[in-house]
Amino acid sequence: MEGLNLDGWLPIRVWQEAGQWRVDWCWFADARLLQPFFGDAVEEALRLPFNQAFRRQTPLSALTQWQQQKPGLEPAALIFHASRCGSTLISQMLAQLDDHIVISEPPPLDTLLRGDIPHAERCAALKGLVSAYGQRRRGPEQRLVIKLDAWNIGELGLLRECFAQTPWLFVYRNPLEIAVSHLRRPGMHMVPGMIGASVLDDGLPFSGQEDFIARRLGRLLQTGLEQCRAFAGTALNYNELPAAMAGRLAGFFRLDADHCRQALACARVHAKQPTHAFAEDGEGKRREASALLRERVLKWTQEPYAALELLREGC
Amino acid sequence: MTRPAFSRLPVAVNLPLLLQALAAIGEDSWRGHFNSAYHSGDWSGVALISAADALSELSCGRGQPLRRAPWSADSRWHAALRDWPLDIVSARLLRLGPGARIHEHRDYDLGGADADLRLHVPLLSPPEVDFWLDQQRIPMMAGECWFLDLSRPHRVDNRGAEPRIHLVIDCRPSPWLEQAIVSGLRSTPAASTAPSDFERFRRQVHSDPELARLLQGLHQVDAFMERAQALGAEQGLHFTPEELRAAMRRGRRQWREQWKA
Repeated sequence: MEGLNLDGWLPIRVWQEAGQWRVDWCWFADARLLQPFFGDAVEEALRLPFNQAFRRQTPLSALTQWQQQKPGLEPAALIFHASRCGSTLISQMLAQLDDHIVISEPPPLDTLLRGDIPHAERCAALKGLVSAYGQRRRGPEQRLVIKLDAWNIGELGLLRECFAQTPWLFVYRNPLEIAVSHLRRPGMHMVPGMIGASVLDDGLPFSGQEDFIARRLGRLLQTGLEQCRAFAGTALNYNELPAAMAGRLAGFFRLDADHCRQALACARVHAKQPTHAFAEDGEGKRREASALLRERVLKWTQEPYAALELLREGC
Repeated sequence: MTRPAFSRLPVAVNLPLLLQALAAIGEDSWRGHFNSAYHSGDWSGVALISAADALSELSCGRGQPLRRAPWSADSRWHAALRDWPLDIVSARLLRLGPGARIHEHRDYDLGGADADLRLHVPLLSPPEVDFWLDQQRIPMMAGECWFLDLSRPHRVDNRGAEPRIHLVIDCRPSPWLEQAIVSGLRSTPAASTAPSDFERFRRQVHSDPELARLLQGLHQVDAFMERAQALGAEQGLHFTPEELRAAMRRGRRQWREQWKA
């Protein structure tokens, strides 16, 4: 088999064409991925004319071939989350660390997890994709951390099959605060029909945005709870941040004192809008909630949220 | 329903009669197309049938189809086409002169279930003409009739010394035509997979990291394009700035449009 040379290239897109799954690779050279989301890093890389005209496109099997030829870092941790709950703060704190690679919500990972792909092929591609992200492009990289899209908590079992040894975190927050954030500016998974079939669907008609958001949030927290129980996940509440980074998360991510100091220095800026300072905004969000939203959120999320809190305190 | 990108219809074309009618068209009947970002060189046309509100020989309209003078004055056009039960919206002769090019574009008005269907009947078709549709070279020959889905990206390059002239017919969709498109697929010759010079250069860039390195460092579009063309020319691979620009557009679109169903 002809040797591949994909040094400096990262998969940015997986798609199906004429029945075949394919991978779109973009040239990143030794650029660090410091942006809040992998998609932002892609946008940046695509400003290079070379990446508009000369990206590489390969069959899905190239992921496996590249992994066999040059295995990347194994994932050190997976971050699942309930959205709008501090997971980006955590990934941004880790991204500051020179020896960490943090890949945040990469679109190809979601495509491989939820696309219509035969099981064996899907698992091989998932391992190959993660290995490609775990390539040492600079030199000092020792740890690979991957943050998933919120709805991928439904595909946790699949990821456990591929990465059985990798510890994983489920980050969540007071559901009323999450719901208010989605009412202000809905995430993709809180817009009907936007992301396709996922674990968040309950298949029932809904009556308005408050009802829709609260029900999907309920399913998200319930799934997180069940997965934590079934697969020994570590649950973390937003209200433990950012201090937990020097506390129990330091243990979880195996960070030393220097790591913790650097990571916390980053916490003074807002994770998704780096020009804004990070500020605890829970109270403002709760005050903003309407009576209808409170009622819906309470009805659909109270049980799983309370159970998650119990689970967390027990650990 | 999805239509194929192209199909050679299983119909007989009376090429000798059409060529006679073509020969009778005076040079002064051809109307050129100026100031377009979409082509270079001679691209001109003669309207045989066109919408009442068509702005020029080369554009379409929405109004009632009118028979124009060259059609009315020569019964051979009607005689050559009368066996095909087509609902014709427009019929034009389109000429691409020696060395002329139509840059990559999509005719969005031809997309969608109810859009007009465009047929190409090559009358003069020198072998040095490359018609690229969806990155495939369509092997059209004089005297054939082809359906082409031109809402997909396409471009034409006349590398030869002779003009290329096609009779281009836009029709309303009809069961007869839909059936002809489907049954034509079986006997449609395969599109050539011979890569264009640009595609060959692209493959070289992918297999040669040193060559890639020369282009990866260029942040300015103009400098990048100039260098890519020069590096291609060094290997005997010639492509136009428009081909390169089209590839860049495609690259941006593939990323941005991935979430569209």
